[in-house]
Amino acid sequence: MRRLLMHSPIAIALFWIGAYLFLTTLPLFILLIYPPPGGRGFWIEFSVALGFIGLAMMVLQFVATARINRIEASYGIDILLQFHRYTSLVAFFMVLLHPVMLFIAQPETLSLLNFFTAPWRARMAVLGTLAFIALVVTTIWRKPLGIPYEPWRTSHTVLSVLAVGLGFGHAIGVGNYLGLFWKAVLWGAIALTALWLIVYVRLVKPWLMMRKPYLVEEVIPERGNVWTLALRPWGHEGFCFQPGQFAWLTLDITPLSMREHPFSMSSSGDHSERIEFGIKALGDFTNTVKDIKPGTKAYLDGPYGVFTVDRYQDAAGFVLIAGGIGITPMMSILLTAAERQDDRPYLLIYASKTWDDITFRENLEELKDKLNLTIVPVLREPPEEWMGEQGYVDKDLLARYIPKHKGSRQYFICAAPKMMDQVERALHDLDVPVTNVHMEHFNLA
Amino acid sequence: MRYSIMLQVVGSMTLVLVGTGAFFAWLQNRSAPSQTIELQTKENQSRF
Repeated sequence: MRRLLMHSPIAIALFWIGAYLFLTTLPLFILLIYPPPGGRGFWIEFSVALGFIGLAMMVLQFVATARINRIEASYGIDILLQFHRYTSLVAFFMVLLHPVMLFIAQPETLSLLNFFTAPWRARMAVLGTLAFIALVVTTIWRKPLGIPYEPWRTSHTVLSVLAVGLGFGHAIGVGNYLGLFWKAVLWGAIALTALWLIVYVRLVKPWLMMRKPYLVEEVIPERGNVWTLALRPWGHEGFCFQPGQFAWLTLDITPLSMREHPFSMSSSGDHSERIEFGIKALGDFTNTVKDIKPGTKAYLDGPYGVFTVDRYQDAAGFVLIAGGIGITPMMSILLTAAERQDDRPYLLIYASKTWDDITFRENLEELKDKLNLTIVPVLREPPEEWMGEQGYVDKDLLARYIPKHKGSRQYFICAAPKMMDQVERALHDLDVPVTNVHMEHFNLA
Repeated sequence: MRYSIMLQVVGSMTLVLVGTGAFFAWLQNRSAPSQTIELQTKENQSRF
Protein backbone atom coordinates (compact mmCIF):
# COMPACT_ATOMS: atom_id res chain seq x y z
CA MET A 1 0.00 0.00 0.00
CA ARG A 2 2.76 2.42 0.96
CA ARG A 3 4.71 1.71 -2.23
CA LEU A 4 1.54 2.23 -4.25
CA LEU A 5 0.97 5.54 -2.46
CA MET A 6 4.47 6.73 -3.32
CA HIS A 7 4.03 5.79 -6.95
CA SER A 8 0.37 6.68 -7.36
CA PRO A 9 -1.18 8.91 -4.69
CA ILE A 10 -4.10 9.35 -7.09
CA ALA A 11 -4.85 5.59 -7.00
CA ILE A 12 -4.94 5.67 -3.21
CA ALA A 13 -7.14 8.78 -3.22
CA LEU A 14 -9.57 7.10 -5.61
CA PHE A 15 -9.66 4.04 -3.36
CA TRP A 16 -10.52 6.08 -0.26
CA ILE A 17 -13.08 8.24 -2.09
CA GLY A 18 -14.74 5.07 -3.46
CA ALA A 19 -14.75 3.50 0.01
CA TYR A 20 -16.27 6.65 1.51
CA LEU A 21 -19.04 6.86 -1.11
CA PHE A 22 -19.73 3.13 -0.77
CA LEU A 23 -20.01 3.31 3.02
CA THR A 24 -22.20 6.42 2.84
CA THR A 25 -24.67 5.08 0.31
CA LEU A 26 -24.77 1.34 1.13
CA PRO A 27 -26.96 1.75 4.26
CA LEU A 28 -29.33 3.86 2.14
CA PHE A 29 -29.79 1.23 -0.54
CA ILE A 30 -30.21 -1.48 2.07
CA LEU A 31 -33.39 0.41 3.02
CA LEU A 32 -34.73 -0.40 -0.44
CA ILE A 33 -34.78 -4.14 0.34
CA TYR A 34 -38.39 -4.84 1.27
CA PRO A 35 -39.15 -1.11 1.06
CA PRO A 36 -42.18 0.55 2.62
CA PRO A 37 -44.96 1.50 0.17
CA GLY A 38 -43.98 4.42 -2.06
CA GLY A 39 -46.19 7.10 -3.54
CA ARG A 40 -45.31 9.83 -1.04
CA GLY A 41 -43.86 11.95 -3.81
CA PHE A 42 -40.35 12.48 -5.13
CA TRP A 43 -39.42 15.45 -2.94
CA ILE A 44 -40.38 13.75 0.30
CA GLU A 45 -38.39 10.64 -0.61
CA PHE A 46 -35.48 12.86 -1.70
CA SER A 47 -35.56 14.72 1.60
CA VAL A 48 -35.58 11.40 3.49
CA ALA A 49 -32.63 10.15 1.41
CA LEU A 50 -30.63 13.30 2.24
CA GLY A 51 -31.44 12.79 5.92
CA PHE A 52 -30.12 9.22 5.84
CA ILE A 53 -27.02 10.20 3.82
CA GLY A 54 -26.37 13.04 6.31
CA LEU A 55 -26.67 10.59 9.22
CA ALA A 56 -24.29 8.10 7.56
CA MET A 57 -21.80 10.92 6.92
CA MET A 58 -22.04 11.98 10.56
CA VAL A 59 -21.17 8.44 11.64
CA LEU A 60 -18.18 8.39 9.27
CA GLN A 61 -16.86 11.56 10.95
CA PHE A 62 -16.15 9.42 14.00
CA VAL A 63 -14.03 7.10 11.85
CA ALA A 64 -12.08 10.00 10.33
CA THR A 65 -11.17 11.41 13.74
CA ALA A 66 -10.48 8.12 15.55
CA ARG A 67 -6.73 8.29 14.79
CA ILE A 68 -6.90 4.91 13.05
CA ASN A 69 -3.33 4.30 11.91
CA ARG A 70 -4.19 2.54 8.66
CA ILE A 71 -6.34 5.44 7.45
CA GLU A 72 -4.04 8.11 8.86
CA ALA A 73 -0.96 6.49 7.24
CA SER A 74 -2.25 7.27 3.75
CA TYR A 75 -2.31 11.05 3.95
CA GLY A 76 -1.60 12.28 7.46
CA ILE A 77 -3.77 13.51 10.26
CA ASP A 78 -3.97 17.14 9.09
CA ILE A 79 -5.37 16.12 5.70
CA LEU A 80 -7.78 13.77 7.43
CA LEU A 81 -8.98 16.51 9.79
CA GLN A 82 -9.44 18.93 6.87
CA PHE A 83 -11.50 16.25 5.13
CA HIS A 84 -13.47 15.91 8.37
CA ARG A 85 -14.16 19.68 8.37
CA TYR A 86 -15.32 19.79 4.74
CA THR A 87 -17.47 16.65 4.88
CA SER A 88 -19.00 17.74 8.21
CA LEU A 89 -20.27 20.85 6.45
CA VAL A 90 -21.71 18.75 3.63
CA ALA A 91 -23.44 16.49 6.19
CA PHE A 92 -24.69 19.60 7.99
CA PHE A 93 -26.33 21.00 4.85
CA MET A 94 -27.86 17.60 4.01
CA VAL A 95 -29.32 17.37 7.50
CA LEU A 96 -30.70 20.92 7.18
CA LEU A 97 -32.07 20.30 3.68
CA HIS A 98 -33.98 17.25 4.92
CA PRO A 99 -36.58 19.20 6.98
CA VAL A 100 -36.55 22.25 4.67
CA MET A 101 -37.59 20.08 1.69
CA LEU A 102 -40.19 18.37 3.83
CA PHE A 103 -41.68 21.69 4.98
CA ILE A 104 -41.90 22.92 1.38
CA ALA A 105 -43.39 19.69 0.02
CA GLN A 106 -45.80 19.24 2.95
CA PRO A 107 -46.34 22.61 4.70
CA GLU A 108 -48.54 20.97 7.37
CA THR A 109 -45.37 19.26 8.74
CA LEU A 110 -44.28 22.70 10.01
CA SER A 111 -46.45 21.98 13.05
CA LEU A 112 -43.80 19.39 14.06
CA LEU A 113 -41.60 22.31 15.06
CA ASN A 114 -43.92 23.04 17.98
CA PHE A 115 -41.86 21.38 20.68
CA PHE A 116 -44.73 21.06 23.15
CA THR A 117 -47.22 19.35 20.86
CA ALA A 118 -44.86 17.46 18.57
CA PRO A 119 -44.28 13.71 19.01
CA TRP A 120 -40.96 12.53 20.45
CA ARG A 121 -39.60 11.56 17.03
CA ALA A 122 -39.92 15.18 15.90
CA ARG A 123 -38.53 16.52 19.20
CA MET A 124 -35.47 14.31 18.75
CA ALA A 125 -35.01 15.67 15.22
CA VAL A 126 -35.19 19.28 16.48
CA LEU A 127 -32.81 18.62 19.38
CA GLY A 128 -30.40 16.66 17.16
CA THR A 129 -30.36 19.46 14.57
CA LEU A 130 -29.80 22.07 17.30
CA ALA A 131 -26.88 20.00 18.63
CA PHE A 132 -25.44 19.84 15.10
CA ILE A 133 -25.86 23.61 14.64
CA ALA A 134 -24.11 24.23 18.00
CA LEU A 135 -21.36 21.81 16.93
CA VAL A 136 -20.70 23.65 13.67
CA VAL A 137 -20.97 27.16 15.15
CA THR A 138 -18.65 26.46 18.11
CA THR A 139 -16.10 24.87 15.76
CA ILE A 140 -16.01 27.43 12.95
CA TRP A 141 -16.14 30.44 15.28
CA ARG A 142 -14.34 28.92 18.29
CA LYS A 143 -11.70 31.65 18.44
CA PRO A 144 -14.01 34.67 17.87
CA LEU A 145 -16.35 33.20 20.53
CA GLY A 146 -13.38 32.92 22.91
CA ILE A 147 -13.90 29.20 23.64
CA PRO A 148 -10.68 27.66 25.01
CA TYR A 149 -9.43 24.50 23.26
CA GLU A 150 -10.05 21.99 26.05
CA PRO A 151 -13.71 22.86 26.87
CA TRP A 152 -14.34 23.03 23.13
CA ARG A 153 -13.00 19.48 22.67
CA THR A 154 -15.24 18.19 25.45
CA SER A 155 -18.31 19.94 24.05
CA HIS A 156 -17.40 18.75 20.53
CA THR A 157 -17.51 15.15 21.73
CA VAL A 158 -20.76 15.56 23.68
CA LEU A 159 -22.55 17.47 20.88
CA SER A 160 -21.46 15.01 18.18
CA VAL A 161 -22.71 12.02 20.19
CA LEU A 162 -25.98 13.89 20.83
CA ALA A 163 -26.42 14.81 17.16
CA VAL A 164 -25.89 11.24 15.93
CA GLY A 165 -27.85 9.63 18.79
CA LEU A 166 -30.85 11.92 18.39
CA GLY A 167 -30.71 11.63 14.58
CA PHE A 168 -30.78 7.86 14.87
CA GLY A 169 -33.57 8.04 17.47
CA HIS A 170 -35.56 10.23 15.08
CA ALA A 171 -35.15 7.71 12.20
CA ILE A 172 -36.21 4.82 14.45
CA GLY A 173 -39.13 6.89 15.80
CA VAL A 174 -40.44 7.70 12.31
CA GLY A 175 -40.08 4.02 11.50
CA ASN A 176 -41.02 4.30 7.83
CA TYR A 177 -37.75 2.92 6.49
CA LEU A 178 -36.47 1.42 9.74
CA GLY A 179 -39.78 -0.26 10.55
CA LEU A 180 -38.38 -3.74 9.91
CA PHE A 181 -36.45 -5.08 12.90
CA TRP A 182 -33.32 -6.12 10.98
CA LYS A 183 -33.04 -2.68 9.36
CA ALA A 184 -33.26 -0.99 12.76
CA VAL A 185 -30.59 -3.40 14.04
CA LEU A 186 -28.33 -2.64 11.07
CA TRP A 187 -28.59 1.12 11.48
CA GLY A 188 -28.31 0.69 15.25
CA ALA A 189 -25.04 -1.19 14.71
CA ILE A 190 -23.77 1.71 12.57
CA ALA A 191 -24.63 4.23 15.30
CA LEU A 192 -23.05 1.98 17.96
CA THR A 193 -19.85 1.79 15.88
CA ALA A 194 -19.62 5.57 16.07
CA LEU A 195 -20.19 5.44 19.83
CA TRP A 196 -17.56 2.73 20.25
CA LEU A 197 -15.00 4.77 18.28
CA ILE A 198 -15.49 7.78 20.50
CA VAL A 199 -15.35 5.61 23.64
CA TYR A 200 -12.14 4.07 22.27
CA VAL A 201 -10.47 7.41 21.53
CA ARG A 202 -11.61 9.19 24.69
CA LEU A 203 -11.54 6.33 27.27
CA VAL A 204 -9.88 3.09 26.12
CA LYS A 205 -6.86 4.62 24.43
CA PRO A 206 -6.15 7.03 27.33
CA TRP A 207 -6.47 4.09 29.74
CA LEU A 208 -3.86 2.19 27.69
CA MET A 209 -1.66 5.31 27.73
CA MET A 210 -1.85 5.46 31.53
CA ARG A 211 -0.07 2.12 31.65
CA LYS A 212 2.90 3.65 29.81
CA PRO A 213 3.80 6.88 31.58
CA TYR A 214 6.80 9.13 30.93
CA LEU A 215 8.71 11.43 33.26
CA VAL A 216 9.91 14.91 32.36
CA GLU A 217 13.70 14.73 32.46
CA GLU A 218 14.64 18.26 31.44
CA VAL A 219 13.13 21.49 30.21
CA ILE A 220 15.81 23.27 28.17
CA PRO A 221 15.43 26.88 27.00
CA GLU A 222 16.20 27.38 23.29
CA ARG A 223 16.45 30.42 21.05
CA GLY A 224 13.21 32.01 19.79
CA ASN A 225 11.11 31.51 22.96
CA VAL A 226 11.19 27.75 22.41
CA TRP A 227 11.57 25.08 25.10
CA THR A 228 12.84 21.57 24.60
CA LEU A 229 10.83 19.17 26.74
CA ALA A 230 12.75 15.92 27.25
CA LEU A 231 10.80 12.84 28.39
CA ARG A 232 12.03 9.45 29.55
CA PRO A 233 9.79 6.36 29.48
CA TRP A 234 9.01 5.07 32.97
CA GLY A 235 8.68 1.30 33.33
CA HIS A 236 8.54 0.57 29.60
CA GLU A 237 10.69 0.99 26.50
CA GLY A 238 9.05 4.04 24.94
CA PHE A 239 8.75 4.12 21.17
CA CYS A 240 10.91 4.72 18.13
CA PHE A 241 9.42 6.92 15.44
CA GLN A 242 10.00 8.09 11.90
CA PRO A 243 11.76 11.47 12.06
CA GLY A 244 9.27 14.28 11.43
CA GLN A 245 6.34 12.56 13.18
CA PHE A 246 4.42 13.97 16.14
CA ALA A 247 2.64 12.72 19.24
CA TRP A 248 -0.24 13.92 21.44
CA LEU A 249 1.17 15.02 24.78
CA THR A 250 -0.66 15.12 28.14
CA LEU A 251 1.16 16.59 31.12
CA ASP A 252 0.70 16.26 34.85
CA ILE A 253 -2.91 15.11 34.68
CA THR A 254 -4.57 11.89 33.66
CA PRO A 255 -4.95 11.38 29.91
CA LEU A 256 -8.67 10.82 30.49
CA SER A 257 -9.01 14.60 30.64
CA MET A 258 -9.08 16.45 27.37
CA ARG A 259 -5.80 18.31 27.82
CA GLU A 260 -3.71 16.67 25.16
CA HIS A 261 -1.80 18.66 22.57
CA PRO A 262 0.00 17.63 19.38
CA PHE A 263 3.75 18.34 19.19
CA SER A 264 6.50 17.25 16.80
CA MET A 265 9.42 15.33 18.22
CA SER A 266 12.75 17.11 17.79
CA SER A 267 15.04 14.25 18.86
CA SER A 268 16.38 11.32 16.85
CA GLY A 269 13.67 8.87 15.85
CA ASP A 270 15.91 5.92 16.69
CA HIS A 271 16.25 6.70 20.42
CA SER A 272 13.20 5.52 22.32
CA GLU A 273 14.86 6.06 25.70
CA ARG A 274 14.65 9.86 25.45
CA ILE A 275 12.02 11.66 23.42
CA GLU A 276 12.28 15.44 22.98
CA PHE A 277 9.71 17.99 21.85
CA GLY A 278 10.39 21.55 20.69
CA ILE A 279 7.59 23.73 22.07
CA LYS A 280 7.17 27.45 21.38
CA ALA A 281 5.43 29.52 24.05
CA LEU A 282 2.45 30.72 21.99
CA GLY A 283 -0.74 29.84 23.87
CA ASP A 284 -2.37 28.92 27.19
CA PHE A 285 -0.69 25.55 27.46
CA THR A 286 2.63 26.24 25.74
CA ASN A 287 3.27 29.28 27.95
CA THR A 288 3.33 26.97 30.98
CA VAL A 289 5.91 24.54 29.55
CA LYS A 290 8.85 26.54 30.93
CA ASP A 291 7.51 26.07 34.50
CA ILE A 292 7.24 22.28 34.28
CA LYS A 293 9.38 20.60 36.93
CA PRO A 294 11.57 17.58 36.13
CA GLY A 295 9.88 14.43 37.41
CA THR A 296 6.41 15.55 36.24
CA LYS A 297 4.41 12.66 34.81
CA ALA A 298 3.51 12.78 31.11
CA TYR A 299 1.61 10.58 28.67
CA LEU A 300 2.12 10.20 24.93
CA ASP A 301 -0.20 9.01 22.18
CA GLY A 302 1.81 8.43 19.06
CA PRO A 303 3.72 8.46 16.88
CA TYR A 304 1.53 9.89 14.14
CA GLY A 305 2.06 11.66 10.84
CA VAL A 306 3.33 11.07 7.32
CA PHE A 307 5.60 14.13 7.34
CA THR A 308 8.73 12.01 7.33
CA VAL A 309 11.66 11.34 4.99
CA ASP A 310 11.48 7.63 5.90
CA ARG A 311 8.65 7.20 3.41
CA TYR A 312 10.94 8.27 0.56
CA GLN A 313 13.92 5.94 0.76
CA ASP A 314 14.61 6.27 -2.96
CA ALA A 315 14.82 10.09 -2.98
CA ALA A 316 18.13 11.54 -4.18
CA GLY A 317 17.98 14.23 -1.49
CA PHE A 318 15.71 16.47 0.51
CA VAL A 319 14.75 20.14 0.63
CA LEU A 320 13.47 21.18 4.07
CA ILE A 321 11.73 24.55 4.34
CA ALA A 322 10.96 25.69 7.88
CA GLY A 323 9.60 28.84 9.46
CA GLY A 324 9.95 29.53 13.20
CA ILE A 325 8.92 26.57 15.32
CA GLY A 326 8.48 24.56 12.11
CA ILE A 327 12.16 23.67 12.58
CA THR A 328 11.18 21.03 15.19
CA PRO A 329 10.40 18.10 12.83
CA MET A 330 13.30 19.20 10.57
CA MET A 331 15.65 18.94 13.53
CA SER A 332 14.50 15.38 14.13
CA ILE A 333 14.92 14.56 10.43
CA LEU A 334 18.47 15.98 10.34
CA LEU A 335 19.57 14.44 13.65
CA THR A 336 18.33 11.01 12.62
CA ALA A 337 19.94 11.33 9.17
CA ALA A 338 23.28 12.26 10.81
CA GLU A 339 23.10 9.26 13.14
CA ARG A 340 22.25 6.95 10.26
CA GLN A 341 25.19 8.42 8.30
CA ASP A 342 22.90 9.37 5.42
CA ASP A 343 25.12 10.65 2.58
CA ARG A 344 22.34 12.29 0.55
CA PRO A 345 22.24 16.10 0.23
CA TYR A 346 19.97 18.04 2.59
CA LEU A 347 19.06 21.67 1.94
CA LEU A 348 17.48 23.53 4.88
CA ILE A 349 15.86 26.90 4.16
CA TYR A 350 14.97 28.31 7.55
CA ALA A 351 13.00 31.54 8.00
CA SER A 352 13.28 33.37 11.35
CA LYS A 353 12.57 36.85 12.58
CA THR A 354 16.07 37.74 13.77
CA TRP A 355 19.50 36.12 13.96
CA ASP A 356 19.05 35.49 17.68
CA ASP A 357 15.66 33.85 17.10
CA ILE A 358 17.09 30.96 15.07
CA THR A 359 16.04 27.99 17.19
CA PHE A 360 18.64 25.18 17.41
CA ARG A 361 21.16 27.46 15.62
CA GLU A 362 24.24 25.93 17.24
CA ASN A 363 22.94 22.35 16.91
CA LEU A 364 22.30 22.89 13.21
CA GLU A 365 25.83 24.24 12.70
CA GLU A 366 27.23 21.11 14.36
CA LEU A 367 25.17 18.90 12.03
CA LYS A 368 26.89 20.43 9.00
CA ASP A 369 30.03 18.47 9.96
CA LYS A 370 28.14 15.17 10.04
CA LEU A 371 25.83 15.57 7.04
CA ASN A 372 25.84 16.85 3.48
CA LEU A 373 23.80 19.79 4.78
CA THR A 374 23.39 23.28 3.35
CA ILE A 375 21.63 25.79 5.61
CA VAL A 376 20.07 28.97 4.20
CA PRO A 377 18.87 31.21 7.04
CA VAL A 378 16.29 33.78 5.91
CA LEU A 379 15.82 36.70 8.30
CA ARG A 380 12.87 39.09 8.35
CA GLU A 381 14.73 41.59 10.53
CA PRO A 382 18.43 41.03 9.71
CA PRO A 383 21.28 42.84 11.49
CA GLU A 384 23.02 45.63 9.55
CA GLU A 385 26.05 43.56 8.62
CA TRP A 386 23.89 40.63 7.39
CA MET A 387 24.99 39.32 4.01
CA GLY A 388 22.59 36.38 3.77
CA GLU A 389 19.01 36.02 2.59
CA GLN A 390 16.37 38.31 4.04
CA GLY A 391 12.63 38.92 3.71
CA TYR A 392 10.34 36.03 2.86
CA VAL A 393 10.82 32.62 1.30
CA ASP A 394 9.47 33.38 -2.16
CA LYS A 395 9.78 32.01 -5.67
CA ASP A 396 12.99 33.92 -6.50
CA LEU A 397 14.72 32.80 -3.32
CA LEU A 398 13.72 29.18 -3.85
CA ALA A 399 14.84 29.29 -7.49
CA ARG A 400 18.35 30.25 -6.32
CA TYR A 401 18.76 27.17 -4.11
CA ILE A 402 16.65 24.22 -5.21
CA PRO A 403 18.39 21.85 -7.65
CA LYS A 404 17.97 21.99 -11.40
CA HIS A 405 16.40 18.53 -11.52
CA LYS A 406 13.54 19.43 -9.21
CA GLY A 407 11.81 16.07 -9.27
CA SER A 408 14.91 14.39 -7.84
CA ARG A 409 14.21 15.82 -4.38
CA GLN A 410 11.41 15.50 -1.85
CA TYR A 411 10.28 18.84 -0.36
CA PHE A 412 9.09 19.21 3.24
CA ILE A 413 7.47 22.43 4.46
CA CYS A 414 6.61 23.19 8.09
CA ALA A 415 5.79 26.77 9.05
CA ALA A 416 2.90 29.10 9.82
CA PRO A 417 -0.09 28.33 7.52
CA LYS A 418 0.38 31.52 5.45
CA MET A 419 4.06 30.81 4.76
CA MET A 420 3.29 27.17 3.92
CA ASP A 421 0.69 28.22 1.36
CA GLN A 422 3.06 30.76 -0.21
CA VAL A 423 5.97 28.30 -0.39
CA GLU A 424 3.73 25.57 -1.79
CA ARG A 425 2.49 27.93 -4.51
CA ALA A 426 6.04 29.08 -5.29
CA LEU A 427 7.25 25.47 -5.60
CA HIS A 428 4.32 24.75 -7.91
CA ASP A 429 5.28 27.77 -10.05
CA LEU A 430 8.82 26.43 -10.19
CA ASP A 431 7.49 23.14 -11.66
CA VAL A 432 8.20 21.03 -8.60
CA PRO A 433 5.90 17.97 -8.95
CA VAL A 434 2.97 18.32 -6.55
CA THR A 435 3.51 14.76 -5.29
CA ASN A 436 7.03 15.69 -4.13
CA VAL A 437 5.78 18.42 -1.77
CA HIS A 438 4.87 17.44 1.77
CA MET A 439 3.42 19.66 4.46
CA GLU A 440 2.27 19.32 8.03
CA HIS A 441 -0.42 21.68 9.23
CA PHE A 442 -0.51 22.10 12.96
CA ASN A 443 -3.84 23.84 13.22
CA LEU A 444 -5.53 20.61 14.30
CA ALA A 445 -8.06 22.21 16.62
CA MET B 1 -3.09 23.77 -3.03
CA ARG B 2 -3.76 20.44 -1.34
CA TYR B 3 -6.77 21.86 0.44
CA SER B 4 -8.19 23.34 -2.76
CA ILE B 5 -7.80 19.95 -4.47
CA MET B 6 -9.59 18.38 -1.51
CA LEU B 7 -12.34 21.00 -1.72
CA GLN B 8 -12.90 20.03 -5.35
CA VAL B 9 -12.94 16.33 -4.41
CA VAL B 10 -15.45 16.93 -1.60
CA GLY B 11 -17.54 19.08 -3.98
CA SER B 12 -17.64 16.24 -6.53
CA MET B 13 -18.47 13.71 -3.80
CA THR B 14 -21.34 15.94 -2.67
CA LEU B 15 -22.76 15.95 -6.20
CA VAL B 16 -22.52 12.14 -6.31
CA LEU B 17 -24.25 11.83 -2.92
CA VAL B 18 -27.03 14.26 -3.84
CA GLY B 19 -27.44 12.41 -7.16
CA THR B 20 -27.62 9.13 -5.25
CA GLY B 21 -30.28 10.61 -2.98
CA ALA B 22 -32.30 11.68 -6.04
CA PHE B 23 -31.87 8.21 -7.56
CA PHE B 24 -33.11 6.65 -4.32
CA ALA B 25 -36.14 8.96 -4.35
CA TRP B 26 -36.86 8.14 -7.99
CA LEU B 27 -36.60 4.39 -7.34
CA GLN B 28 -38.89 4.59 -4.34
CA ASN B 29 -41.35 6.89 -6.07
CA ARG B 30 -41.70 4.99 -9.32
CA SER B 31 -45.40 4.78 -9.98
CA ALA B 32 -46.14 1.09 -10.09
CA PRO B 33 -49.47 0.42 -11.81
CA SER B 34 -52.00 -0.06 -9.06
CA GLN B 35 -53.58 -3.00 -10.85
CA THR B 36 -50.27 -4.88 -10.88
CA ILE B 37 -49.84 -4.27 -7.16
CA GLU B 38 -53.34 -5.54 -6.46
CA LEU B 39 -52.72 -8.63 -8.56
CA GLN B 40 -49.42 -9.28 -6.83
CA THR B 41 -51.02 -8.86 -3.43
CA LYS B 42 -53.78 -11.33 -4.26
CA GLU B 43 -51.19 -13.75 -5.66
CA ASN B 44 -49.15 -13.52 -2.49
CA GLN B 45 -52.22 -14.01 -0.31
CA SER B 46 -53.22 -17.10 -2.26
CA ARG B 47 -49.74 -18.58 -1.63
CA PHE B 48 -50.18 -18.52 2.11
